[in-house]
Amino acid sequence: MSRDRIFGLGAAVAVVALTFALEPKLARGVLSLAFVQATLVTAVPYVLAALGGAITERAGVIDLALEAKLLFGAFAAAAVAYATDSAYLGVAGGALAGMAIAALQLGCALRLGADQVIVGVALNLLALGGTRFLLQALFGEGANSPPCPGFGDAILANPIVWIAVLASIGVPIAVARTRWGLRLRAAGDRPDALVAVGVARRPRPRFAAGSPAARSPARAARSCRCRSTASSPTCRRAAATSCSR
Amino acid sequence: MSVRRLLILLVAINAALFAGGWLFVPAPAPKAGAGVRVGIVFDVGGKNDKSFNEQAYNGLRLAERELGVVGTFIEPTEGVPRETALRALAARTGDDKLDLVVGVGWVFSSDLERLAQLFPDVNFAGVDYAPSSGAGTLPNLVGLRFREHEGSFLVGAAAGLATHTKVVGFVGGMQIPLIKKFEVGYRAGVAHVCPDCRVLAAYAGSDPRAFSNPPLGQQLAGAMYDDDADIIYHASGKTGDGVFAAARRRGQRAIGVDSDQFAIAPCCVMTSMVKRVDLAIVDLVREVIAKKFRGGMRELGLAEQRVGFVADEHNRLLLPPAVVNKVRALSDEIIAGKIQVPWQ
Amino acid sequence: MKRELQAAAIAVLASLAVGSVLMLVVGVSPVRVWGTMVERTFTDEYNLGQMLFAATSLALCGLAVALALEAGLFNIGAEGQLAAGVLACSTLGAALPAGTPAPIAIPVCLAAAAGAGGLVAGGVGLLKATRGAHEVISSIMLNFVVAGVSLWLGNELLFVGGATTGAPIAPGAELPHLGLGGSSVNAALAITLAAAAAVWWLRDRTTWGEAWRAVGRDPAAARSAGISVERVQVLAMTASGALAGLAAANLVMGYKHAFEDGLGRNTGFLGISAALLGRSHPAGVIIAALLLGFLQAGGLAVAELVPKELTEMLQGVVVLAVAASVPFVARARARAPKEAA
Repeated sequence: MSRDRIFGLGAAVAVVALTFALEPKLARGVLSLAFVQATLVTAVPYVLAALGGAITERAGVIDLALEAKLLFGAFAAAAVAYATDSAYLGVAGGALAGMAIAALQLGCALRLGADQVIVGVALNLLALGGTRFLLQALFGEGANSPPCPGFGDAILANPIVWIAVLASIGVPIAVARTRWGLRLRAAGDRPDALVAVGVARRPRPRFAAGSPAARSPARAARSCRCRSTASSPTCRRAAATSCSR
Repeated sequence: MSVRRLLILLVAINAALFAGGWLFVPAPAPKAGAGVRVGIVFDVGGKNDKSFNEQAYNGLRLAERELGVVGTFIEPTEGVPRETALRALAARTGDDKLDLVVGVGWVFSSDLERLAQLFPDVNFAGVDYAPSSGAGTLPNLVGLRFREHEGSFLVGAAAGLATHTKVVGFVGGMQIPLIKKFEVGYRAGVAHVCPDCRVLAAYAGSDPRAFSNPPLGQQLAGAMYDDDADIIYHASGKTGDGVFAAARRRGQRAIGVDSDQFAIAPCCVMTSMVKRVDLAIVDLVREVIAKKFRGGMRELGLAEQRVGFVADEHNRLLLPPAVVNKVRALSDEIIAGKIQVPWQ
Repeated sequence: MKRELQAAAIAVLASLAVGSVLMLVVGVSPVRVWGTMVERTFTDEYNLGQMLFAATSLALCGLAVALALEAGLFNIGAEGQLAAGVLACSTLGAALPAGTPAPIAIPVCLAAAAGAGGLVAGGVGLLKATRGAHEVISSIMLNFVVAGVSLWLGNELLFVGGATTGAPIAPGAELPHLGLGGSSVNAALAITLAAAAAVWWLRDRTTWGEAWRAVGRDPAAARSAGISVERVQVLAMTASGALAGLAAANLVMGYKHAFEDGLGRNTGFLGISAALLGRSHPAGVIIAALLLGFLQAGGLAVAELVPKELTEMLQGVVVLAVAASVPFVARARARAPKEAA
């Protein structure tokens, strides 16, 4: 371990120890099973969104529209679960909404050639007002949807927790070990190389490779979502090759 | 596609949309009743929070129905800060001019003071208004304050009488003096009927978002139920939804606040501490119609029947008649001044 | 110029169309809504004032983001820098003796606001220049740090009377209102215009501006031309943060006259849109801020006809439309120069 790391770790431990020394009640709370459960459940959206972001990051794109995908995903998950009375369909709806936003992002950035940063910021803005607008239009309320079915408290019986666990194992393997992952990383590190070996015609498909991560509260999505969201011939080709493993 | 062609296409689309709307969407009927106009700005949580804001909204609808007033409202969001919303209502002129502008929630206090000075010909009212130090009374600003501690005392007594474990809980929203009042009254009520009962208390945070955080409410309530509490009273707006969810899951009892919250969780809501914001607003509208609106503070409690607890055919099974009778007796004692309910 | 106008026309028409569709969805005639929106915003001086008030903060945050953007830095933390400015400006303003004359109080508070914002952003720039820390990450994270610190300080020290508002600032530090039907627009508008002019002058007329933009275009080339890239990064971030912090002048000194939790929340993020919409040019940023301000004020003016979420949504639509129409026009003209000209 490098000296920097040891120093960082030491500082973190010191801060935690100091906090507990000042607030002994906190320490008791932290050491309980309920706290561990709460931590895991709270971590799930971060894990899934971060994995989605990491995929695009490796493909050389900062996905600024993560927030938009989360917001629309959350809305769609709640609305679908409420309408169908099924939490599983809600998860599917959330993932689909995330993919729909990714498709819109792709359409603007690839087909129309818009700046990805601006598109990301605009989509976030759109999601902020858009989810509220939809809530208002569907449920007549600007802040919350009616309660919808969920998976309950027991974290071991919660499929989304398991999706998060599997995803955090599967995504690194897919990125590091598969042909798709190799191309993904190549798009980020050496886009010209991808063009040279004929995977892509222009450097731009790296965006296509980066876009698939659809995120929702369920955030089930990864893998080759490209196929369904590809909107330009370039992207479709990149998708077809990268998805054919 | 060339730029020119796209421009023509877009103009055509817009023309079609405009024409379509012009031809096929009927103009909204002008709101009937040329009478008094009332505008309300809600607090975080929104008009359907099944709690405090909803009470205010019901009041507006009641006034529309019974008194023929024209009502309008805004639910502020992060994008539109509440002061801007309040100001927009106050600044209406001409036919849209409002006769009464109501801010629902203590957060509006300082904004209302300033706007009441800025727009002296509009009447303002603040629900849960807390005057800032040094502010004199303004002739066009009414502050409504409820003696929630009295109602909280009664539900505290009900909890103290109905608990099996001798442990009861309280979940507050944001940690501010207003909500502390609920806790203090509740504790006093519990202690009055059950001196050896324990009261667990927790708050959801220290900023206004603490009133709209159901997941946290569920966590806090879950922890209390795990610590042997069998009845939890909440004063936390929308966050209370989480308290009821925890109660439902564990088959325990909870006490609602502001509105009669029985319908949210019929299994578990033993009673509710109701705060009749709706009736208070209707009273104000009546004063405006009769041109008798006078600025100043209004204190509303048990004696005025603007605060109380729910005992009806719905919660009969959760709230035994013996408990109801005892609590009613306590209520009479408070009104008669025999019990002084502490509030801080 | 013609190219910009064409792109703007396409973007506005497309946004109009999207807005009209949404209005039809909620069952209101688009002509009615747009008409009322324009009429109420431009004929009612109160609404006009509210639009200018919203545009003031947006323009300052937009200028902040634009300046950094031209130096190749994406300052996504204008939100936090503004919050730091609000905290410093209102705390210092409240600490000044009540009798402080305006010629002293106003510059002191302005300096506090700009200084606090500059300090936060300067730290980001320093981390970037010395340790290579990505400015997007560190400035986003500082948003949370600043928000947490000001709420904590508020709860511990600043809030008075059980509310989330602090003590009022010295009367001398209050910026005069511009009237306009009791709206909140105030003298900070003039400060903003002066700041925009200053940024334009720095950008187009000085070697500093030249150096910033050179670093933004190509850091390696700038370095070989003898420019200290690190120095430029730190300076550009500091200046950017100072501009964002200055928006506190509008919110604290011209509007609330006190510290308040959440004051200006979201303005920094909308400032990013203003910068991108305005294509990083000071004049463009001002126009973009006015447009976004119009949507905000106009949205409230038609709140009875359509939910105001609709106009919030339109802000995103406008940015998206501009982002897509600019390259579209560029490509169309490159393809067929004669046809488009």
